[in-house]
Amino acid sequence: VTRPIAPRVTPVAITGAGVVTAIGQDLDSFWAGLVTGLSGISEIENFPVADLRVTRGGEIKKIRREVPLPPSGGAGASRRVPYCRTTRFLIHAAREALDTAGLRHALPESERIGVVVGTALGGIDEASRALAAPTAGALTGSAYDGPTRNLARWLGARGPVLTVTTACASGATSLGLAADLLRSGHADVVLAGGADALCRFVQRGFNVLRSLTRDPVRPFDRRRTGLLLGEGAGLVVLERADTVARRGHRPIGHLLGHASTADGAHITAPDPQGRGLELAVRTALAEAGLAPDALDMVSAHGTGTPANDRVESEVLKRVLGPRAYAIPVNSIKAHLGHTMGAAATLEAIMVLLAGRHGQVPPTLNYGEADPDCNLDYVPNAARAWRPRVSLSTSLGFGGCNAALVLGVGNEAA
Amino acid sequence: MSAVPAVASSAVADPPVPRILGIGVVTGWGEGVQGLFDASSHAGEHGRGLVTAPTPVLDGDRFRRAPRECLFAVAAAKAAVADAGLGEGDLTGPRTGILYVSATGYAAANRAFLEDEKSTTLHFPYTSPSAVPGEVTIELGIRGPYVNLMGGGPATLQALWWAARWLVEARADRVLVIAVEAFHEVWDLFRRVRRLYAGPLIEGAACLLLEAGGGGPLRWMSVLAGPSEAGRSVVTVLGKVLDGDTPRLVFGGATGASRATAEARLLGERGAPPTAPRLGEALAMGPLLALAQARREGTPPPWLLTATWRSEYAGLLWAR
Repeated sequence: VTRPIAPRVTPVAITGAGVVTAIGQDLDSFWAGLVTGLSGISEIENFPVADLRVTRGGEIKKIRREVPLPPSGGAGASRRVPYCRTTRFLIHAAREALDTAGLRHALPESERIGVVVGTALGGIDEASRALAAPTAGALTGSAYDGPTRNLARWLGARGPVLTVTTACASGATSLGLAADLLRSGHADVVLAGGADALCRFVQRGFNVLRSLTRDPVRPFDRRRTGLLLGEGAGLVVLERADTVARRGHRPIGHLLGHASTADGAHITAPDPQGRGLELAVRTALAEAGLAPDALDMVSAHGTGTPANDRVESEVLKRVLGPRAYAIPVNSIKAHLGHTMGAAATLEAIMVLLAGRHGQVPPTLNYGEADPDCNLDYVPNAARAWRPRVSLSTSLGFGGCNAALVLGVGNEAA
Repeated sequence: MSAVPAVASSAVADPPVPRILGIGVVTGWGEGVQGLFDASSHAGEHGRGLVTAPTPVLDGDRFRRAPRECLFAVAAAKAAVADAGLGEGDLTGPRTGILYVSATGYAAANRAFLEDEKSTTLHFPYTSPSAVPGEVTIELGIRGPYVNLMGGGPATLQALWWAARWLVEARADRVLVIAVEAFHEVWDLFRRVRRLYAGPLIEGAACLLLEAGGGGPLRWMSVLAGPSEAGRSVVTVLGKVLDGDTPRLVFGGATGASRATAEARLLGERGAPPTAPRLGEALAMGPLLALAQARREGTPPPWLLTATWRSEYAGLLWAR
């Protein structure tokens, strides 16, 4: 990968990853589900939905019951305050991330470990219970930073602990902040990513907004009518490249650039001109020192709502120029549902796996081209293609945008 | 539009202390920053557990349905801009960044939506914490760097450090750091978690408008530690952030006997002045209110700010 301009930041190594999703609760099953076109969308069973207009989502039917033992120095849940669903997602993903990073038994001293978790909902899945029986433990557990702190405690992390909430862009913003912590020397290892649990609160909320569809989720398709929610967690282990080289571990990839920006336009809808997203993409590319021609793939937010997919496509065309038409642009929202705070991290992990395996997962349920969305969306079947450098874009409530530029393995570092 | 920030080519470990251009404060203590000084003279007199902030009245149809936390944030941001002698249009565009921090800014809207099954499309968007800074970005037309952190005072110290970093890296020309807390609608719940805070709860918003300042390094550190290690965490944090400096003003946020004792002892050994009297527990607003007080008092830096939230203790030195 050639860089026409000097990178503005040092790449940060991604040395491990872990996932919990409706199509798989480890990297292998997640990847297999993505490339074979498995959809995790089903009728929701975990909470009452009969009175709601839309009753489906990317629900995880059975989360592994046993909570993994914490690493040395970490602590498990107390009997009085058991882990919430979001925390369990995080801990299962963390266990896999540590294993793949080769750090489960080799973590640095606790004050050098950071945790950065992005979430759109925090511990809200516990809030109904907490309001019904408002004990101190239940109330603090249902706070936005409850799951993050549970993860840090399980991990034994005593360094910087951040809960990021840029809505559905949180899982990208968290990676960017984690990289800053490493570059500034505030931590040597940061576990970063995002998580959210599907619950009645958010299902009812998106129902009243009429954002949910009764049809299949069809990102970028002319017939698209909305999104479906999902749940899960995605976490990556981030380290400085020199640290990784010293311990002889081969990274999965590198975070080359990041930006999170504001729209300043609307609370729930994207800026019709996509100015905030455009700035995020341009800044992330500039951080990486890369021109659009260096990109091999885009993982789009691609929610399947009319506005999001149109704005996103327009921004990609405007920023990437001819390159936008020459590379695959996919969305995995029809596989997983919109996993909110987890979405951007899961998509980042997906592009790294695509580079490793030489395949790009498809955009499911794509059938009719939309004149406003006229890029190559990898319809319905995985494609043999090995992206070395990828862009991932995200948008969220409150006018939040984020962009990540990711390199596979050591190639782009 | 293709305004890409001219980011500096190499990051620095600790960014320079930024310059405070303007401060906006909305609390129940009285008018703006002066209200904090009026409150100082009454600290300890009142037996109230909650100091409720009056709901700001803002022009614009959009604000008719906005909850109090949004109105607090917008009012404080406007006050900070006015305090800086700027017009609101001066922050419009991609060169202004915004960092929002709160421990409770979502709680009232979330509770209302949870408890009222008849709530509508007008309510749900405001359950997202990002709706609060979102209203500020819409009001001022901000389109630059944007991050929201959830937590108490330690999260605000993190936000100040990131603001300084954005400025030194030229990601933004100006940055708003806004903290909002709203307790009135959830006061019955907060009474049940009194161990998390000390003194009466202060609600409202505080906002700092910052630009690159070129001061000494803004040193920040936070440590998560259980009760048995609380004292040691204070020694670790203060050892790093003071780094041989002696603060001229101290805004101590240590809670719990072992943390508070360790903080007082260590600062005493350094010859630091006693910590400024606490007006109450303002959670994420606390560090910004402290900076507002420090600026108004006119004592030159270095100023030390510390904060506790749950098991986290953090410190930040606002150097010369």
